Amino acid sequence: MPFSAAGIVIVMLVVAMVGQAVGLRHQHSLNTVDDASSSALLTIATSVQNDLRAAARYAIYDALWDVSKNADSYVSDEARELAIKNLAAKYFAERVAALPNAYAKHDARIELEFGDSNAQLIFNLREGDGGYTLADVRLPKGTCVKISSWDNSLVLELPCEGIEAFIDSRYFLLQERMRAFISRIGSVSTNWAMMEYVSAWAGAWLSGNIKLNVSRSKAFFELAWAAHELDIFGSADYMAAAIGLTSAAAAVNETSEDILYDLSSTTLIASPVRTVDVDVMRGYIDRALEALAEASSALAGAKEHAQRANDALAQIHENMDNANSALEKMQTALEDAVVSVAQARNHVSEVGQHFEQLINFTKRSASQNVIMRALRESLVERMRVDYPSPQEQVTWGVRGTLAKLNNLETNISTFAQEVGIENTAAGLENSMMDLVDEITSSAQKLLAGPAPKRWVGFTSYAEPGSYEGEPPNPGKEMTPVYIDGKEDGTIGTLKIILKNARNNLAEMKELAGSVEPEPDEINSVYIDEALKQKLELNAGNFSGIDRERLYELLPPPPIQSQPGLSVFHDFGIKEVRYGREDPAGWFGSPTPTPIPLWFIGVTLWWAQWDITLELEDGAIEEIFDFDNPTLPLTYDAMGEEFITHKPLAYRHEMLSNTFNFRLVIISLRPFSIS
Amino acid sequence: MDEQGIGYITDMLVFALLISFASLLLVGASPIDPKIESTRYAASFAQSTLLALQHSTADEFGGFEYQLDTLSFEPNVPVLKGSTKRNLRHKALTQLLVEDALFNLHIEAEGVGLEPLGPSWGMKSELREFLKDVLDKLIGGRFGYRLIVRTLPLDLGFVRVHFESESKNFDEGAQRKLCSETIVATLPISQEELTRRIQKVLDTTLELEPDIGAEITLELWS
Repeated sequence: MPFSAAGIVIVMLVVAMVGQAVGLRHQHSLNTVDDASSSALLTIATSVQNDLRAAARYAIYDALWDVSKNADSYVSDEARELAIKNLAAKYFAERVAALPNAYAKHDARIELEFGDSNAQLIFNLREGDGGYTLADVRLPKGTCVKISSWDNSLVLELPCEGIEAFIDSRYFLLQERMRAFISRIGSVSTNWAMMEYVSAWAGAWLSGNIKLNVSRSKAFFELAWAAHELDIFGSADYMAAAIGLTSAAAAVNETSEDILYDLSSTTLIASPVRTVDVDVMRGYIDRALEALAEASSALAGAKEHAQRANDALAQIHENMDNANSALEKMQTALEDAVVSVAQARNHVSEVGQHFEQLINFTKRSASQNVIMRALRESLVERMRVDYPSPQEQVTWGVRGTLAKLNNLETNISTFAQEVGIENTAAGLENSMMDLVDEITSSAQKLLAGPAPKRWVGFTSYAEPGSYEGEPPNPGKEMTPVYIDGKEDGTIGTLKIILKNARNNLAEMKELAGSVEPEPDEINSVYIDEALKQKLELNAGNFSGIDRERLYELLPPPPIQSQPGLSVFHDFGIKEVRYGREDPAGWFGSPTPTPIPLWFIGVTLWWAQWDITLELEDGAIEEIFDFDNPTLPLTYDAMGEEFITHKPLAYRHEMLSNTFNFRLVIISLRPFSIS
Repeated sequence: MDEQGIGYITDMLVFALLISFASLLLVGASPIDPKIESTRYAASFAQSTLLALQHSTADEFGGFEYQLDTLSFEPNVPVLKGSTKRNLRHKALTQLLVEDALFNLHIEAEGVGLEPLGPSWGMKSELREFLKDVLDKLIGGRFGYRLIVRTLPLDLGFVRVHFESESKNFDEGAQRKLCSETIVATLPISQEELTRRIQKVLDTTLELEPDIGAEITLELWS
């Protein structure tokens, strides 16, 4: 039976092998269980570490909320951050005190050991990307998580002395934006001033009446506040602004849409005197003055030529042999004098042309610009019945000067023709002396600055910037009239008129420039289209509702997606005061103060107010991290208390309660004030 | 056939029988138990998944958001579109689980809820859907799973305070539980505050301390 014997041997070998395999399998199974067990222990220990991190995060959430809701209670950012750290440490200590019991209830193997119980928890906060908060927490030395296997054969101990936590709330962004809002609160005054300015400007120019009204000022202030919020936060409390705007508009029988429309439409028409326009006008006057200078020079040349003719005549008297030659010289000199007078006449004609071009320029610009229209009217129409308009004065002046030059030219030409006819030297000499006297006298009259024809009296007020505090009493003053008729013009008179016109233009530009906002500033009145749309929506009925509390849960979506903040404000306007400061207003006149600029026919009408708006105490500005509604906090509603996700709020009670600016209107048209 | 021939055939038959027996013994003699091995793999996988839930943020899985329900408690307020949205993209998944547990902690007497639904009650169903997507991605069809989040019930006889939520993806009919791994996370509220809230709802003083721990259990099924 050899095969059976071999089979038995094989079976015995196989049994031995199987026995070994079973042993190995058992050992492997034991190892697997150990592995799984230690891996499970590691997972649980790690989960406890993570839970501590979460506890730190929730402690910081609570601390952030408590401090940020009273952000104005801290003197500086550092003080505020210190308060957050201290509060967070306190809340964390309270939370972790309950953790060992809580873990033990679920898994008796977990032990959480805190090292030195007297050692302090240290919380450090720092700013992460995008204004988020990063926290470093230092736990007492020796803090660790211990966990053992059920049979105590394996004990795992994980040290846990430092925790880093990312806080998904943009505390630092809120703090930085609120700081910017407060430090740049002056923008509210600027925005408000621009709106009042544009409104008053439009009243002065379009309806001839400026109405300063408390309700309207309140509406503008609401808009200015919202515009500042939008600028800093990328959103505004448009609900509050819409409610404030509607209420203020209703008080003046308008709608909020009316006010918004007025502001946007007047922005187009209300622009200050443009420097470039004034410079163009001054360019025409400068060219006219240059023509006058050339006319003066030509006239002086005519005088010299006449003197030359006179000298040639003297040669005849000394030596009759040269009589013919001297007569020729004399005739040449007289012809030169005629040419010079003709040149002077041409230059004076140019003065008229340049002034006409100035009128045409204002006429062209008048179709688009109310200021240029007013300027044109001032140049061609009389500002007073007894005071000729600039156009009249220049036209008469040019015409009168040309007549005088024509007359002089005729006289010289006539004498030149008579030179050959006169036989005696003595006769010629006498005529020549008369002619030289006439030319000299005419030239002097034409060139000299003449005395005024008459004087016109008017009441004079102090000009803007010429006094401080109380304005001086108005006085009586006189202004000269140099050209009062068609025969009155001379080169000197025209020079005086044009130089004064030039000075008046410069004065107007300077006065207007010193008090009017820049075009850029006026453009800033432009209200963001998205904000405007929000303001035009029905704000809804919030009566009886605590909006601030509601916003904590349901913050209104931001106007701009970045940085994603919601805004709340709550302020009451205690009063608005308007104090007239221009002299006429100071002395109780309901009209603006006139500042006549006689040589361009303009009266600048000046009204000035010191406007002050005072808020009631306790104005609140609050922002919410709309994009991160992550804080699990309580919310009370209908007598119940819920826990839900709320965004971090940053609340500041404003210290600045008074807003003030100076409204100065200088118009070329008279207006009334009510 | 002579006797020698019969003996030879018998010898061969016995030999064949012994070889067959030896072969049978060898077939079942693997040093590794596949059942234990797959259980071990599943346990390790479950632990990794639980760690991933603790460390991963919602953002890594496409973000999580839900809508507050305001009608139940602020019915007359003009609510603006967008203000009820709660985007919690930076939160770790376990954070979402414990926050949901806190918001929807159920206080009931004989099965009837004692407090109205809070504004975040809708988070529960949204989170369940979101977690299902997350776990489908993490586990990727290797196993069936059931994730259970629950607090230890506070049983006061007439009143019960508890929370339980479940996300699962497996066919209950033909499956075997491979492993069940549990971690403990605490609710985002202090013990005192939770006690105060429950007392306020019940209008009575609690003699037992409510549990601020929540168990997060992941079962994997074959």
